[in-house]
Amino acid sequence: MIAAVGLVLGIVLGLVLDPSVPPWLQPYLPIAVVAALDAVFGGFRALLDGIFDDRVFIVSFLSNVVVAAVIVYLGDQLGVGSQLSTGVIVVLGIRIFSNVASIRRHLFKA
Amino acid sequence: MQSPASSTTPTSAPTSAPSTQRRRPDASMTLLVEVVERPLDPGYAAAAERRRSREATGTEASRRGQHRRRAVTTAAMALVAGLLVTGAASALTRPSDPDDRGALVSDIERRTAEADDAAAQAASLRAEVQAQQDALLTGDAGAPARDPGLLVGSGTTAVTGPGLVVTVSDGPAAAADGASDPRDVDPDVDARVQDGDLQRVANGLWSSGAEAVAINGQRLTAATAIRSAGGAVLVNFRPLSPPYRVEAVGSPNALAASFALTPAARWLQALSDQYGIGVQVSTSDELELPALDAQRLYSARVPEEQEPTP
Repeated sequence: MIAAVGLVLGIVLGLVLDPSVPPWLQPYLPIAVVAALDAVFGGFRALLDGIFDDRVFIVSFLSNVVVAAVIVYLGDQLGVGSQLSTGVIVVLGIRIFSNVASIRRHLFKA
Repeated sequence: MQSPASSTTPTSAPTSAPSTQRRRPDASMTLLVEVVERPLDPGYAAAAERRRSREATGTEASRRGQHRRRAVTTAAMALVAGLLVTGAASALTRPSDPDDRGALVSDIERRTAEADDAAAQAASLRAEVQAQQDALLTGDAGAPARDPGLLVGSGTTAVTGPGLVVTVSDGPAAAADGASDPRDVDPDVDARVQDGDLQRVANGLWSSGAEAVAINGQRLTAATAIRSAGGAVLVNFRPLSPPYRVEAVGSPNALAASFALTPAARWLQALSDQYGIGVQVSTSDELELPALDAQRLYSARVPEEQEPTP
């Protein structure tokens, strides 16, 4: 409950303050969003499995975002940024798909 | 009905030693198996397990205090996550606005500045290498002689000296037609100086005996292309903007006399008459032509007579 309050407060703060992402950080935003999506679907599946934990969700969400961005940053420095982002997208995509399949089985029993 | 073979199959004999168990066919792909079969963060299961064990054992008071602390940190992290999501969402939606080119422009300017810094660093490193080579080779009779003509022709060294300057600028029709920003100008307007015009001028200067030629500070070498991309003329893959100042080092009077007889001079005259393109030819006592800032090694070989010393 209190986590939801914090989340709403954060969104409102973001809308009011309108933080501008520095340009050097912007190439890592799309991959961070995909990583966040992975955490969101994982959390939804855990909710349906009855083992949802807000703390685990938030921690996995933040660490997913940071790790994905760091991997792509490292790849950029090593000159294999696009290949590494493809790899990250593939792995996260597989996870998202299988989590969504599990959610679908929960919801539609099919 | 018991088959003697059933007790030896791994599926029906879970107590058998692991060494006798059949290996999974995909045992070498544990990473992919992990990704596909356990997509859910194991942290959820662990947290549920912890919760269950805590409820079974923990005392009421200690659980209450611990729970409050955890809730506060969770809320703080949720606040950060919300802030992050909102910031990312607003940043990702903004570039779709076609009027907002500021981000692109600043990105281009930043990268151009980075390229300029790298070029300056390359120039200083080149000078350092040159100095080291000179220091090593002084007094060595067998050292391969450096041909100064080769260094000048390849654009490896900067050149100073008297010479001829041909300045070509867009005609008034181009200026009146387009905006002040060279990117907005229609590239097909006839009154604009085209890459072909500059190619002719450069060829005319070379055939008149120029020792080194540069356009707007971009040194021309045997590997230089004068091309156009959109409305901009590219020399050494660097976009230039008018007026184009073509500098040639050589004997000024001889250069001027022979350049006036080349087809390039007649071409410039025709451009000036038909389209009003500004052409200005002048001599200069002191021209400074920089070295090529993007040099690459095309071929190298070890002198044959030199024995490798241990």
